Amino acid sequence: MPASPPAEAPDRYADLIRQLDGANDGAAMERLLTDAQALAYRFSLLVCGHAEDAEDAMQDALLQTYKNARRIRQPRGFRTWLYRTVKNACLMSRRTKAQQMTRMASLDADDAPEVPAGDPDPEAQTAAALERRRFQAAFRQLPRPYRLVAFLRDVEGLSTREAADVMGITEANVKQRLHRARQMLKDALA
Amino acid sequence: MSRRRADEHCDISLLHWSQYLDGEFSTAACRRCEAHLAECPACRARLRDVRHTVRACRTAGRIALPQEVRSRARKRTQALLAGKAKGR
Repeated sequence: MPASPPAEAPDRYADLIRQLDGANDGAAMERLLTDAQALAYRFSLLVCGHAEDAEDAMQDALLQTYKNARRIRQPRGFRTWLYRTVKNACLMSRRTKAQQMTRMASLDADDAPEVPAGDPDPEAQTAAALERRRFQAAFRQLPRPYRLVAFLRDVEGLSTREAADVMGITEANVKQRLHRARQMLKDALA
Repeated sequence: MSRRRADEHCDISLLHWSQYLDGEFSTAACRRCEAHLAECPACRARLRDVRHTVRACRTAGRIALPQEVRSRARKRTQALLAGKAKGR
């Protein structure tokens, strides 16, 4: 049962960035803008836990990506830049909202739509959806620093180095927080 | 990893198996881990727990944009790109 380093998510962002000055310029930019918004949506739901802020974060991620995508000198650095940007957009959006409203809204499990399961058996689909919701609820109960690290590493597949870069902490800290997050999740689901 | 008890009293932590799963150990350390796993059901269960948690994270992250949100995102993208094309 050999252990192996977690496979890093393939960096298709780097490929898209490289295409920005080529013939596929428009298509590559459209793909980047779409992905940036989808990431902002996932981040809003899973890390911030506020579905009502998702559209603001998506809008911000869209504009920031559009303004800066061509300025990124290192295509491989785009992914961490994007996650950092989305993180800031989501957290900033929440802060602004919190100043405007005194009420604290929390994300209801029903706000989180899911990708339909591939299993054609309706009972299996229902069971999988319930399991996923239970997990998402446990995930949102994690303290934010732990939620963020679990999101970057285990949900999105960033490497330890990339997660450290996005969060502005050391790799050792990322590892420590990730292990603690997994422990808390396991306990919550026991 | 030094020689440890391989029974229900084994005190190797979940953290250890989390690090193992993340590939943080040397090849030699991995071999020792595997030898221990072969004889310790408690650690096999711990490793299974970590794997299950990581897999659940990946599954939980498969969140589809609701149709209306996706539609608004597409419109925003197209408006931005159309504005750029007009400005050329």
